[in-house]
Amino acid sequence: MSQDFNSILSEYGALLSRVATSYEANHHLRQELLQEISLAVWQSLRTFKGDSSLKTYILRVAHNRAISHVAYHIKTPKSASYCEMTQASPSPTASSETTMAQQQQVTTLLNEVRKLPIQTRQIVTLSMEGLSYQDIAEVCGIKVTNVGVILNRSKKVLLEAIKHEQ
Amino acid sequence: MNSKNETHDETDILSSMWQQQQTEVVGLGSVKQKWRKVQYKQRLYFVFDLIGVLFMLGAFYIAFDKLGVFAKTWMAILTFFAGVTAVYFSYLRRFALSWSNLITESFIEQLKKQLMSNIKIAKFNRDLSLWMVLAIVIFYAGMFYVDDVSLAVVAKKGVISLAILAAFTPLFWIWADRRAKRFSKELAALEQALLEPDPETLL
Repeated sequence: MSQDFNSILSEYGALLSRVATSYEANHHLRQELLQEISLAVWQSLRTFKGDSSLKTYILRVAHNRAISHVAYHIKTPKSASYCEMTQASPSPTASSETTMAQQQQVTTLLNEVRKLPIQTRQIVTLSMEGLSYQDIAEVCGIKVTNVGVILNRSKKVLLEAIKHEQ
Repeated sequence: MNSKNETHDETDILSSMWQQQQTEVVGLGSVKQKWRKVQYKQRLYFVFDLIGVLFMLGAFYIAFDKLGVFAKTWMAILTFFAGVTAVYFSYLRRFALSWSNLITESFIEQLKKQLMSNIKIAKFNRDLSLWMVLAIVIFYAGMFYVDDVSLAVVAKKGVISLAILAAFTPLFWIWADRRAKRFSKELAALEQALLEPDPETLL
């Protein structure tokens, strides 16, 4: 089980980190959330029956755990300024203006994603992780048509915000 | 056709940006450590629930020969009540250890139910601290009127018991009340975060 989970962490660790990032701006709380998500995935693997792809299953469990986190941490500040490490710092090689601009876009995207209502946020991030409309509908428990409507609307909102920042 | 291509382009642009973000990886060791902490916390809650029952049983056993019919009956009722409460609390907390692989809509419903259970447990604990004062008064009053224990003995034991309760009840009441308020805030926060525009109106 540990061996399997180690390989799952290697393969899906970055994906879990992105789920945590979409729900928590504060670096320390995000690390805590990432641990909780990883733990939830580890425990849930016992009940994985292969009804969906492993990636879809992991994303479902991860998002569910992250939703609990949203309620639990209401008493802590939501602002990113709570911690100096809340945003990804530029890498040492990132000196060109283009790279800086790209990083700014990523930061804007993250901030805008965190402002979305929970269901919309889940749908948008699942889509950006490459899940189909059908898979997203199954994970969230909503109609495929609703996935399409919410996704189209929110993508426009996100792109507008990114353009506005430029 | 153009609109469809545009949608795919938007998805590609956003996905590409999304995948560029810095990520962190968590180690298996820290996940296992977290799991031990969660288990420890849940067992601790269970032990706390159990302590009440064991205390009642212990007191009942030690004082059995010295108690009259009323005192025995009253203690048996309270012990039974403490046992039922411990089982009920464990039942309400069952969701905390079951990691959910439900579809998100069902998970959210379960999460709301769990928060409502937590509020219920906290409020029950808060009110219980006050009911215990009444239970002690009835216990000693019954001993005096039904079991013919002398007023001096009842008054002495009653005052000691009530003094102990007076020392702990306010602290316990405040603790339980804060927990009830915290869970109520969490539930409100969850419901607020779930507010969505109706997709049907966006069509």
